[in-house]
Amino acid sequence: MDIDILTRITEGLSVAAQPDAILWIAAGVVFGMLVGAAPGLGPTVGMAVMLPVAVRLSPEHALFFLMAIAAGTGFGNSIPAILVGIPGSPSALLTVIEGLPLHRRGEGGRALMVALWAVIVSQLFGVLMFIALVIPLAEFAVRLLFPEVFAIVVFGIVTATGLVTRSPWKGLAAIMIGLLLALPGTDAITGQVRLTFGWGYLQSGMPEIPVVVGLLAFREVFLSSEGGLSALPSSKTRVKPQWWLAKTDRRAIAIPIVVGTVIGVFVGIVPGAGSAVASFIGYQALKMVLTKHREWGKGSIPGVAVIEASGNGAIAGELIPTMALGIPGAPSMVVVMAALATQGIFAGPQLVQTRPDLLYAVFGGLLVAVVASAVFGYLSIPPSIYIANISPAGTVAATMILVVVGAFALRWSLADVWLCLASGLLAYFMTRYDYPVAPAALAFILGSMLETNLRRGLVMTQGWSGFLSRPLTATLLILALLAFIGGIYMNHRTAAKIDIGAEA
Amino acid sequence: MGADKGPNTTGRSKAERWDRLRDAYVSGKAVWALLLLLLGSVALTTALSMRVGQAHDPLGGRFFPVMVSASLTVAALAVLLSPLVRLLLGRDPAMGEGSVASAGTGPDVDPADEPEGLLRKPLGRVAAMAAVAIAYVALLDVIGYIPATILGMAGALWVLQVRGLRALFLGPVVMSVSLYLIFTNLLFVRLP
Repeated sequence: MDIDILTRITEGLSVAAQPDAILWIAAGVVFGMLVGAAPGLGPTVGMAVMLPVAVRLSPEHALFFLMAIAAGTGFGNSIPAILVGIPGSPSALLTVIEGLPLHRRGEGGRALMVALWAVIVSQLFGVLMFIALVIPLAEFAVRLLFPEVFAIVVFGIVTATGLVTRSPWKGLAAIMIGLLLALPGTDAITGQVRLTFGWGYLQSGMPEIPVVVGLLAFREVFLSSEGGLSALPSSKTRVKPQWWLAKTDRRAIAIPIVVGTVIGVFVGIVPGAGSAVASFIGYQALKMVLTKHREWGKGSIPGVAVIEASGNGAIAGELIPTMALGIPGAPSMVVVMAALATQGIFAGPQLVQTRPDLLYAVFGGLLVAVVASAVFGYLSIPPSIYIANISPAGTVAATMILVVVGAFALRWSLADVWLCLASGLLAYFMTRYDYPVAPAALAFILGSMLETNLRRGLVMTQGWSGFLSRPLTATLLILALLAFIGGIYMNHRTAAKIDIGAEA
Repeated sequence: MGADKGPNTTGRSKAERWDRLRDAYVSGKAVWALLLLLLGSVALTTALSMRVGQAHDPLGGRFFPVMVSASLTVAALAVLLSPLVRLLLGRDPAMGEGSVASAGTGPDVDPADEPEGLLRKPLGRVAAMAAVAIAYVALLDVIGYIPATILGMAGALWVLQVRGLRALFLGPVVMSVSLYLIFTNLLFVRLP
């Protein structure tokens, strides 16, 4: 590490330590925690709702604000998971399995504190790994050509799908539904308008945010109404907040947090495999390490720690490909890219060369956000307990209202709201019949990137044989296939039917 | 689909397995797979009839749409045929994946089932919620944000079996007015 980097880190920190920056970070963390605590609402919706606010801020502040929301949801979503048994967003699905039994034993406060510690430590290390990895990756990425980028995107989508589905055909169908949604609009290469059925609205393609928000969040409204009110659990057990962790607990969570964070960051880097997938892999990995541990599934303290650590490590991980490659690491990162794009800043390898200051500022902002998470995490436990306990019906209704705001707010277009609603219904039926929605959302986001890189790559290599014989491209494509088959095989073996749809 | 019967009979009796096959096809899953098949093939024909200029691009603007819609068609077809194939292989002919997957998202209900007692059926509740959502979005433009939101929220609560005037009225009014004030005055975001 040379002096140059140190000065830049100091500069980044000084940008983030300005009072107005701190104010936006704090606001983001608090808002994120509330959104996270509301069942069904995850970082994507939280950030989408606030996007119109973010585009009015400077690029630095917009990034701070949006990433702070993501950081806040990281802890917020585990509150209802532990106390009520409803994951605030899909990445907290497993938290229910280990956290709820603890709460039932009257140890809800302890579980929350373990979760908070895991969140804070993993976010802190995630930020450090972000700054250590993003610039080398971007420098490497500059040398990647179209076929490699194509292969990376395929790898991301296919791997993420293999992890969440048990039927290869339904997984394939889900990916294709997403890609199909990405087709209408202007052909990026020839400039020709295609598949719009003469509808002017589609000329610039399906708008990303309404579709993503619809697929991932509006779906929740329909899913929760499907089961009716009786299916929505509610908690009557009182929670006694706990303010510190016993020494035995601190010892018990140290290794899980380290394991979880490392896994989380690296899983997060894979485009598409977000927090939910990371928490799943981290949990499985720890199960293989701690074979003697008897509490799995019955309220395991290391379990809660590793789930939260890997899920939150992934938040920093997701930002790495977003910034370094211009490939959104998760649906919520689309919002970050959209916020930057409205200011004429396009994430990708060029950004790292032209605006490195922005990266260091993000680094500083994320550090401040971790501190804010710690402070507000403590303070937010009582109000979040209250939010998690208000009538589940109320939160479902509120979800509908907020999702509509999120879809409308960016372009002030009612057509976007209609599209969001339609996407929500589509996602509901996909979920109902076991077609994984998260891969579809991902494929939709990455579809045009996939196509342009394929076509440009084929021009470059003058045909398929040249394209497929590039070592990195071929390796990635084969790995993707193996990961897909392996993932489905594993899902059959474990038979654990957990719908880890990526980020909601 | 020219298959007639499975040669191998292990486990269940033949009649029983034919019953299971019929169940697999008379279900929402089959209807959905059929819809996807339809979507795929319509997209495929549209993509094939697309006229594209052959610029200096070996693949052209048509390849990708054709590939995507063809893959969707194949995948939907595979899901649709899977019960038949499973029957021919002498296995339990359930739609899609083995028996665990069918324990997924609640019981299958025919959407056309008796309209009365709509809210007693899962799919009926979803239909009601969808109707509320559609009405809400449609009303936004007509009667303005606050009134539409009050109605929309009250409707959603009603679908979720919340009864009682106080909960149905007070909650939505407080929520919509405060949301409106927060967004327009504090965050300078325009609402519909």
